[in-house]
Amino acid sequence: MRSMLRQFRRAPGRILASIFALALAVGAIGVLAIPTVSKGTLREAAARDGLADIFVDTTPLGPAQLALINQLDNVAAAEAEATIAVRMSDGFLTRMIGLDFAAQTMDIVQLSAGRMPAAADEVVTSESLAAVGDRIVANSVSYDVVGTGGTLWWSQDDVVYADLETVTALGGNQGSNRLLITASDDGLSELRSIADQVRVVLQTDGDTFTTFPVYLPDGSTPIDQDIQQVSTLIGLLGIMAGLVALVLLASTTNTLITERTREVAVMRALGGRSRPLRRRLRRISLGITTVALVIGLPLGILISNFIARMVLEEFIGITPDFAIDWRVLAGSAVGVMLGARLVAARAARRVTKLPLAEALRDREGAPFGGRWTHRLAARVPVGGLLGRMASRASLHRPARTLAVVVQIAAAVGAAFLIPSLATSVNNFNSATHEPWSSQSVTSARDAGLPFPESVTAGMADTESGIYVEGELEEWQIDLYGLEVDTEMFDPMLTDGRWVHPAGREAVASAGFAERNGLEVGDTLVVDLASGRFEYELVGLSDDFSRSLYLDRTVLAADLGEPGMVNTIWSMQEHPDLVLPAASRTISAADLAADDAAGRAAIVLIFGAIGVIVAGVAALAVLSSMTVSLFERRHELAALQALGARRRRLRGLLVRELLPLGAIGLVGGLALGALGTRGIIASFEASNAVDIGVVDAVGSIPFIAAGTFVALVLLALLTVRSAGRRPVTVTLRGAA
Amino acid sequence: MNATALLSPVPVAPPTAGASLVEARDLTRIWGKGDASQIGVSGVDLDVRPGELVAVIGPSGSGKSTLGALIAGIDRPTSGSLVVSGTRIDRMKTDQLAAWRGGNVGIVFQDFHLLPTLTAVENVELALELGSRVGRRQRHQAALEALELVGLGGHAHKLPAQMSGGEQQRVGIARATVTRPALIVADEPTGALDQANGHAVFDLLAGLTRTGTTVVFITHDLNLADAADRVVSMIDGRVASVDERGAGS
Ligand SMILES: Nc1ncnc2c1ncn2[C@@H]1O[C@H](COP(=O)(O)OP(=O)(O)OP(=O)(O)O)[C@@H](O)[C@H]1O
Ligand SMILES: [Mg+2]
Repeated sequence: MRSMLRQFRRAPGRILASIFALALAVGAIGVLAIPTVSKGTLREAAARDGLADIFVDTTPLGPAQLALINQLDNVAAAEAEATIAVRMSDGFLTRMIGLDFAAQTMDIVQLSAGRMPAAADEVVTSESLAAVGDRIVANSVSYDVVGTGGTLWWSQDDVVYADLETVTALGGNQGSNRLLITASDDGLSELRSIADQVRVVLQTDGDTFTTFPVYLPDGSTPIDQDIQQVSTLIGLLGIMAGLVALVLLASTTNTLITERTREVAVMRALGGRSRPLRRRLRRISLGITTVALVIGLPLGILISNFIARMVLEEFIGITPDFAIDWRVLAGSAVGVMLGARLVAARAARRVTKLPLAEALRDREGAPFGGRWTHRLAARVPVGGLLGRMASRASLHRPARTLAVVVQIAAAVGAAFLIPSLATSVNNFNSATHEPWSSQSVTSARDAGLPFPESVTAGMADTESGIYVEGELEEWQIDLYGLEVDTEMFDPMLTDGRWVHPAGREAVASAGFAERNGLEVGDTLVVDLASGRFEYELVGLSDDFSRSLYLDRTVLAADLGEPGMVNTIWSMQEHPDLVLPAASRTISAADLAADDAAGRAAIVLIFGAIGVIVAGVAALAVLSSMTVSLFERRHELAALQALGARRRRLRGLLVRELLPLGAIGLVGGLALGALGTRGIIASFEASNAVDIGVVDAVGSIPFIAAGTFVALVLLALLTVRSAGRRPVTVTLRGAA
Repeated sequence: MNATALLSPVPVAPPTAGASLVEARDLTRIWGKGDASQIGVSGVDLDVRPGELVAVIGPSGSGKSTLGALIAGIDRPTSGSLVVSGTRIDRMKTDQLAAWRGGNVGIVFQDFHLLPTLTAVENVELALELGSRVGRRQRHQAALEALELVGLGGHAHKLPAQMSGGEQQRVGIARATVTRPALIVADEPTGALDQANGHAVFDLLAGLTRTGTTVVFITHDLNLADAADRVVSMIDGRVASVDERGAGS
């Protein structure tokens, strides 16, 4: 520590730049902690709520059925709730959940204000919907809001919680129609087997599931999967940040030690032994690393918490508690320390092994002219004198030159990756809409198929059909039941044909089929809410999703409600529909806007991480250049003594940086393009869909200009400080 | 252009008749403030006439280098005024001063300060590029001739790291003279050289005065100082005595 302090007093600016850049780099590694930090919050919320393992909507159930379900194998507890869509006084459709506040053991409502309802006309609502003391009107009945709050499951929706009887009465005494089950063993196959048993129990009374069950196996939470995907991306950027940190560490350490070559040589000449000298050299860089860690680790904790908060608030509307991922913390500390030690040992060995005469003669490190590459460069007088100086300086310190190139490449890579991801996702989103020509989609707000197929009879440009979820090859898929001669959907077939009327046939998404080895002619085994069914695969659709398309009459019958539908597609934005149950119409434009908003959120989050990585890299370049300039301060002072104005010095630096910038730019673009492909490929694999990569070519000029401007600014900044001291003072330090 | 042309009378604006090339009045340079302050030079009055070779001598720490740096325009006085070649240089801005140096003064350093990545001839060319407006080809030619003049014709393409101390110093002299400045400030240019080489360097600089160049020569070597036109002795930052040798005046 003492030797570091002495070093610090010698060159505070330079050491500070290194420490700061290194600390930021260490901080950036903190993005690796984001998934853990967010998951911790989710798990906590799940534990507090008593999050169930299976959620499913059903036809109305009675207490006897619930008792039977409670006795099933592996069922720890089963509870029923009632859920209906209600219309508020302002016409807004929202969800009302009826439950037994006193006896709730699963998905327990957490109050943020007020109290639980105690009377039939009292409710709790989501915070965003109303405040304690308000009166709300739902389906023309008014209620007192006595509390606000919610559960993790509903955290993204506006919900009204009321007594079970109140809701069943409002829904026409339908009874409980939502089932929550907690299993003793919550593995995925165990949960599936429970669902199968429950189906059997319901069937004996003619009841069915009206939605496909949602399983949360192994203690997972509703958005675990999303977080997992986001983590992949974040991890990649974290690795990039770590790479920059390591390069920076190596170059800083190297310089700190190399610039003491002469000092060490003097000590060796006076009889100093190598081993203790090496130890002292190493200690300097370890000291700097320690200080950088002391600043960088808390910074990393802040960064990870900040971004985790952005992610969670954006995607599920909950604010996470402050958390620390000790593994990432310890990992980055140990990694950086080991890295520093390794590089320091190498540099120290080199410095103490240099022939004494050579080391004594030189002021800072090995002189130019010591290698054949130097002599070759000196023989080739290409370009102006400043240009020669610039290129030879880069040649003189190849390690640092490489470090600067890598750092620029990392910054450019991050800057290219982010917009490329954005354009790819953008393109993917519009591709998913492409097969659909409808201008609006009207869907039932309650589960099941509440509309007769004939609601659109006689209406031009409007078709009725079905949209439900199901499972195929262990993937959750979307199932569409359409009119066979539909004009709303163009399957864009890549293989096979469209379905025949009343055929037990399906067209599947081409990318999904390919990833699961499904071919035209295969038999598909599909799990629906109502049970297991088989269809023949007759065609493949180029639709970038995970979907099956069937004849609506076939699908309705399989769902247990022949002749019924739940979705209406129309060429009008606001079709004139008279429907027998609650519904919501979304126009294609709104759908696109929703997509855009979601995309903007994703881009914002990755933009933030990208900015951090690019910022760290820029700082690293700044630090490298500061060190490089410090090393050559005598050279620059001598230039000034000969009459060079600061403009010339800037010119020299710009000449030196621009070629490195150009190489870094090309390398970085390649890196960014590769990274985008890697990330998209991992998304495609983990979702079994085609996404496709679209490089953000339009961003390249901006990135190039940005790199150029940043490097010129860098040169300006560094030369400004160089011009301040009198030339003689700088030169004096050389002797 | 040949070697003689190189050493022909200075083309820069000649100082008005009888005026001094260097005119220092109450020149003071102090580092730091209060108790911690270090005096470099204090209250120095000095005139150097055009074409004169002035030796500055004095014990170590007496302020010789400080004075030299002020006159060469690579440092600025704390107070006092300094006129060189008819220009008031003590108040100039950093870049103005740099430009002025390039055209008016050649500096020879004790520890050379050659640019390590440039060859001998490139080092000399650099002074021409920064200090004058000469075409590239002419520049190269002039630099080679300047090297020839200091006896380094065969070493033009060596890098500083491949040359001895004396050779490097002679490159430094070629670099300081190639622009034919009115003033050359040399701070212990012979410090790193053996006696023969030291005398050769001195003779080289003394020869320049015959063509009108003014030389301020800082040295510890009293033998060399004896051959100067005038000898300025410094003690504790002040000029203790100015000794006319008569030979050249
Ligand atoms: N940059 C500086 N900061 C502080 N003090 C300085 C600085 N430069 C010179 N000095 C002080 O000014 C005084 C004169 O120094 P200078 O280098 O001019 O002496 P000198 O006569 O050239 O000595 P030498 O013969 O040893 O070269 C000394 O006391 C020195 O400590
Ligand atoms: Mg001195």
